[in-house]
Amino acid sequence: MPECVNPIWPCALTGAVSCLAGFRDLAVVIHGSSGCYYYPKSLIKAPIYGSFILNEEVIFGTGGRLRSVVSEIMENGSDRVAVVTSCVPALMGEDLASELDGLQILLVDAPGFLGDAEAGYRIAAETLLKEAQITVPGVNIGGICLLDPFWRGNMHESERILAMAGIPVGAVLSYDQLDTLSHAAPVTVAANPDYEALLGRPGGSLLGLPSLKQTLIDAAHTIPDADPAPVLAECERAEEMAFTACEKYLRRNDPPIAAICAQAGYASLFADLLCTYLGAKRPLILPRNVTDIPANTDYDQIRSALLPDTYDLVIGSSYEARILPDAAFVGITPPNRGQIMLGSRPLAGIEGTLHAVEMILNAVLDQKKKDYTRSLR
Amino acid sequence: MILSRSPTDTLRSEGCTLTGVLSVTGFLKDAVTVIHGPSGCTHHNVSLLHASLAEIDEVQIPCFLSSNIHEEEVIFGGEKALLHALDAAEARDSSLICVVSTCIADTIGDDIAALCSQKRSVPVIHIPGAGFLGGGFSEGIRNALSSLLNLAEADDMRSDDGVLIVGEKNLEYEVEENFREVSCLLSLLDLAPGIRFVRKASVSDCRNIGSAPATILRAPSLQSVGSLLRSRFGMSVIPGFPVGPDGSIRFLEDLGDSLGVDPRPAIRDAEGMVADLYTGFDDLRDTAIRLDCSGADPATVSAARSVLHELRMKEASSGVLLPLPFDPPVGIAGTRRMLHSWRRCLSRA
Repeated sequence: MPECVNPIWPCALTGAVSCLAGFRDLAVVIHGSSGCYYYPKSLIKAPIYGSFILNEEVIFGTGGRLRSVVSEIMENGSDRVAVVTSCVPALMGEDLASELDGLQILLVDAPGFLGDAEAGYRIAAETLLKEAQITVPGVNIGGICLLDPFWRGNMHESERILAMAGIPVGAVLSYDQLDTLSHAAPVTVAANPDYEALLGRPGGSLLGLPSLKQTLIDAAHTIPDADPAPVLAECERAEEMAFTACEKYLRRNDPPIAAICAQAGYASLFADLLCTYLGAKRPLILPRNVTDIPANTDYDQIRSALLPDTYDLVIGSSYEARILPDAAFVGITPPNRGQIMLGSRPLAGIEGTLHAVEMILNAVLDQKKKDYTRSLR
Repeated sequence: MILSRSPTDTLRSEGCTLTGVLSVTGFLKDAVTVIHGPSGCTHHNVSLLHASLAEIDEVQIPCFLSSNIHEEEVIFGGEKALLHALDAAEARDSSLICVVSTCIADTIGDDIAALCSQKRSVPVIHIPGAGFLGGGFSEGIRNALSSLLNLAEADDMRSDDGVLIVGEKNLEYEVEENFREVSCLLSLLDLAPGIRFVRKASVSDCRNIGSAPATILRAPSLQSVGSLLRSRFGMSVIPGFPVGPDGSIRFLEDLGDSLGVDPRPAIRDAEGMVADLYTGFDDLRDTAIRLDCSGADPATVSAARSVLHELRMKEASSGVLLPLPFDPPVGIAGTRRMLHSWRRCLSRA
């Protein structure tokens, strides 16, 4: 792989831990050195343990150390423990399963060198979901990841619209109890399609109103008493609200020229909103994760891609906000330094679309005000 | 409380050696740091520096170039990836390339030192940074400073009035405030700070550090770096930034004595400043308090107790619990900030 300057997206280990840490009755241990522990710990607001291995364990074997950490966690009341191996233990080739024999452990091999956070999330979900059993009607909610700043809002909004349509929820991947994996539903709908957890059949996405409507109609077909009509009616009202707000903005302003640096799903959502409601030209998209086009996580390359042109609006992280300080900024990609987000705001669902349109309009309007104030000085 | 569920959270927990190294090399203005390992290791640190620098409104983040090794390099060796990264670093028109190894690079056994010794248009230095091997964050800082000392010209006979400041904690929120406090105390002795090794310093600054008349280390943990400076350049070394009012007076005494400057006028000025400080917090006198000493640096506890004594505050089990700063309070200004936080606590009680 070519070298990379100031990479700005987390590794597979971080993604795997974020998936597992969403299960509240599963204690997660990062098996690696302290550096591999602190970063995920700082990003994922959930309890995480570390084995904090040192050089002698790397030379003579890490199994003993890991067993003592896991035993201590279990003595303190955790029944289930997941161990995620970081780069060094992964390449040492130890038989950790034998070392942990007799303990109920889920071993997840997700060293950072395997790829990005989404790859790690997928690996962890695949390992975890081997235990899942599809026994109840309804849908599972997928794409919930503790790394996503909108995960809590997405989860609440997904539950709300599914309840409105009379569709029962099976498991929430990943923010649930392990028990629910034994009572999962046959279909999984995605609140954020970039955090993929394959449980049953993929049932579509809840990002953006067109996808949401189709997903709800399809899901409702599989449940005898489900009725998507109330959700579809609310979608119509939301579209009307978004069009009205955007039309008012466009009476005094041109459509914004935008660049989007985000996970592919969110980038596509915002691009569609800009084109549909604001009549903007298709924005420049630099995706954080690999899809059918390569990811762009090299800070220098992002900078080089953004600086030659002028943008009214940049949608991304605080890295991009710093590259284009004179553009309006919408923070949807972590990290978002300098902005505080405590509430549960979604990007998925109907409220998610309204929230996204609101963020765009408020950002461009704030920037107009700043530019105007500056021009008066 | 979700932050800690077990004693295992705090074991072996000093932090990554790599982060310690990068907290130094990232603040060399005209250097590129190559990190030999997976991009995730570099990302952790870019993210940390982005966050720390955003807190103090610094726009630029340092240039960290990852050799970006993947599964293939882990199996077949990562030296080719490092060579590519070195070529890319050389093309960036810098004055120095620092190469830092990570856990995985050291485990697969790449001969990083040999690759760094190849002739290039820019000097290349290798700094060990493997997280599990190197002994943690502080060791990373020492590794980086000791390696960068090799840039200093041994026969530098020029004399400089500026006092060398070594090992400032670049990720510390109050780093500039602490520097200003030391500068203020130096000014009482008619001295000024010189090169900051390494904070916003250039590679040519690193070459000239031997010309300073004396060195002030940021913390006693940098003693090994101080010893190198003493043995190579015959410099006087002050082992740490002054802690609390008493430490400030001792700092002036020690620095004056080591440079042959009469410290008494400076000490009189500092004593006046300390008296003003205590007068400003007269309302805290005779209050009953407890200190939250859990995990605190012993130097912080000692400075806090000295302040309690001066203000006649009383430690009692029923007293209001007062916090201690994470790092020992530097000088008189640092003590003032600690007293302000105590006052806020007492007013809320």
